[in-house]
Amino acid sequence: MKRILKELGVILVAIFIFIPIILTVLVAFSQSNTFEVDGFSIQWFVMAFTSESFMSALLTSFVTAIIATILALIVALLAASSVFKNRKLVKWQFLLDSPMLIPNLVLSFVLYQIFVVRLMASEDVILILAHTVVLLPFAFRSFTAILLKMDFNLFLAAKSLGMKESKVFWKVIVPNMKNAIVAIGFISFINSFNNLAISYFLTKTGKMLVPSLMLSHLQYYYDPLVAAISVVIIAITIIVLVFVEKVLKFNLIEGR
Amino acid sequence: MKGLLLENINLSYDGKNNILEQYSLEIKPGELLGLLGPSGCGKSTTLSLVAGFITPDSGTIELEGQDISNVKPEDRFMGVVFQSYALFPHLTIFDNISFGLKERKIDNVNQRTEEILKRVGLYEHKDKYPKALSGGQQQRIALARAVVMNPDVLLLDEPLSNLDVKLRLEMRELIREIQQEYKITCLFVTHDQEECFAISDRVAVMNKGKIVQIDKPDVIFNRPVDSFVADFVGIENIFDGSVIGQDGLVGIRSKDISFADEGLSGEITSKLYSSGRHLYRVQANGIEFKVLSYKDYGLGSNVSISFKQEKVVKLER
Repeated sequence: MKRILKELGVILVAIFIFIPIILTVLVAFSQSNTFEVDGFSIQWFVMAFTSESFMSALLTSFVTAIIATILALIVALLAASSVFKNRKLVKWQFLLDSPMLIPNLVLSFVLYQIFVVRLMASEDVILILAHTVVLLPFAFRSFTAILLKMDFNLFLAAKSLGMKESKVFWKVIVPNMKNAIVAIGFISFINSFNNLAISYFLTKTGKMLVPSLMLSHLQYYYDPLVAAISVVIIAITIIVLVFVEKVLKFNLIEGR
Repeated sequence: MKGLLLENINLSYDGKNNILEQYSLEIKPGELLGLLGPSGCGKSTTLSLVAGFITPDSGTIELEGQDISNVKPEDRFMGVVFQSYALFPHLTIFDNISFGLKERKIDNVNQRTEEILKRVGLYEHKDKYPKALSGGQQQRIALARAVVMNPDVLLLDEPLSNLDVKLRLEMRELIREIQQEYKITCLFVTHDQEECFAISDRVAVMNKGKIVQIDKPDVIFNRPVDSFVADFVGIENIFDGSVIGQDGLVGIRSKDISFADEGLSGEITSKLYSSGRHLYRVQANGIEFKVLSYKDYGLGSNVSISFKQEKVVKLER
């Protein structure tokens, strides 16, 4: 009896999570001009892919997310490697964590003030830097957590076998974090792609990222185009995840 | 074969409490020196100093007369075997062993690696990854990885502590054999006196950052200098010699005390069965003696105990 209740609970939660997604997919393929589920058509997808503003937002989002993810991973790894080599630095960890503790909206405003108002930097650079700042704490925290659990003797062993200290981290420690790096990179990419606040605050000259485009479209139109865009994003996410999992053989879903 | 000399080493981690104070130790060329002591006595610190993982606050470390105190670990030539094996998980067994040869640009990488793999009996596992091997096999690979470069000194940090009893006996024989075949000077750190005495040429017993006694295993076993060493090498009875007509502190093992018709009279206060014999506690002259005997007495019996005089060890303090 208890087991049945437990399984029922799991099923209910799954339904709760998946129903909105299923509904979104149904709406996206609907013929209707509103959010009703009615018939089948791919007109909204055609519209999305022929829309110049959506395609350019998609490209901007993609490029921003990829560059910001790579930058965040590199900086986070470098910072984490210092903590790994000198454990006393752990107490300064909060300094790099702080962007995570401040609400995204406030952080966006702060970055807006610095980058847009005071530095008047180029919009592309601003976007990438801001996204990097947002992604950094999570990547750094994850890397330090993994590194502090790793056997420090690996590091000492490599040195005693004649490897230079500057080489050891990248040649011995990083290869043993491959899965973590890919997983954290993947999550960071999604985080950047999703981030509305940063995108909204820091794009003022008409350049748009996918989340802000979706929001502004919803403000003016009452049609399923946004549902179609959502489905495209879900599809991209699934494809990338499956590619990483099955083709590159990183076990992100199943674990080691 | 090279000899190693640590002289007047001072070291503290926090600048206040000394881990090692005016510490000196000599390892002769080709010998296996066992460094024995309880946890926190500074024995692993000594090993880290020799490996170069830490540098002393003052004092010198000399290898064949050359000061290497400030040489980085990657520029020294020490083979280190860790308690945790520390094999590289992302490399195959073959690549783990050839790691040092490649880094140090030593010739005949393949031939040397295969040779040592055969020597430790794990050649058929050369293409596997470490996690596919058992703990005992991993430790043999770790030993091979350190030995294959023919290091100046082989450093073993509690290499047997993660293994079960049977493997421990096999592994310590393998360490001893390989150390002698390859004629490597060796420092073996352990808290286990039995395994330390079994494979060492000489043993240094450490306590609180100092070497208390350094000598051949049988000398330390039979003639420990003080009550700390005596206790550490399993002398259960340490007491004031006046009880048996001697000066100063003396010690004797429980197996060297026997029940007799005449001797010190006392009362049995506890009794434990231990591998075919009984371990008694006997209260006599206000001292509690541990006595190991085949004879069977009941609790509370009045007995006399006598000491094999030649087995009584005189202790300095």
